Amino acid sequence: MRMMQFANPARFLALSAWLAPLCFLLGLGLTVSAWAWGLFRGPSEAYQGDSARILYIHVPSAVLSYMLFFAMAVASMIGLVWRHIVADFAAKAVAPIGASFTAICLVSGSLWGYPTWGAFWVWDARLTSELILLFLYFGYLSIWTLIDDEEKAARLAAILAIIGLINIPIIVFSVQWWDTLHQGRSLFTRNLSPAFGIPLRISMLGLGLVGLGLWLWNIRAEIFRRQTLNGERALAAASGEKKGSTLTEMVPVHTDQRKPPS
Amino acid sequence: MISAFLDSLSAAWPSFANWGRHTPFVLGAYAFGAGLLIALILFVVLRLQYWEQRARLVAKKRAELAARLTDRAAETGANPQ
Repeated sequence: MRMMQFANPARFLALSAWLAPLCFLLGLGLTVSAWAWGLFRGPSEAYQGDSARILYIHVPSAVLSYMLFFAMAVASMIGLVWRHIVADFAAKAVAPIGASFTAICLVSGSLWGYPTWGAFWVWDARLTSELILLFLYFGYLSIWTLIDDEEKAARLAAILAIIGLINIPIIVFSVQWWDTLHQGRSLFTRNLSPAFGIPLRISMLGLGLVGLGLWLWNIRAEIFRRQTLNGERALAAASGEKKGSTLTEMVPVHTDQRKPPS
Repeated sequence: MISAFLDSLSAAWPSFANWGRHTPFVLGAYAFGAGLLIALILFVVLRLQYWEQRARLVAKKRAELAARLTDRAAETGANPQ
């Protein structure tokens, strides 16, 4: 019930007005510090050399790419089941952010792969499932772009996001399930030296906060967009001076829930 | 050939960011990441500003219209609702 209260657009706008810039600025400061530390102060790795410094951007982007997809699928599920409009907005707003982090993960990983493996790309289970994740994001965004009816687009995009969830455990556990060229899990293990682990975790926290701030801003943009379109429709109807045109015909600016489908 | 090109690129790079033959890869990864992140930030912030301004403008127009309809209703004695 508490979660539903936060799904009210007016409450969300009030909360995100201060939370989004706070998350973004804090995250940006942490990210820049962690990258500077990792690049100029941290040691090079014994076997990989200096190319290991790429991990401070690659690993946080990889973790964020699938965590944001998971968040998108959960928001889609809430939008589909409880028909909360802010949940649909949240799912739609996170897609470009998740897609960007996936692209950063793939390109930075590729640039790490060449000096380490001798190839920019291999059809490894981890790499391939991450590439599929990027295509899922593109598919999700395409649905919203290509379908004019937003109710229908939200439903179809939600179904794609929920089906796409299958890919998340494949990305995470692929290095354990199959014999992959990509290295195994090392992020939350004791094998990771603090000289690498500390800037890496700070970078993860920083980029996570940057992503959260951008997500909140993008949800705000989506709410304002819907308010504008509803308002313009109402104005057009009112200025049409058709018989019976009254103020009550105007579409409400803030709606807690979508109208049930006719 | 690629190796010679990368070595020459590394040698030319200033010493504050010299990671041997890995320099172009490290710089490339961070340049791409930071570039895409900046593009994403600009996209989100400009999109937010654009829709926020349009929403304000529409809200203002709707308030003006509502006031006009209320005035007209008061003049004619009709209920605007």
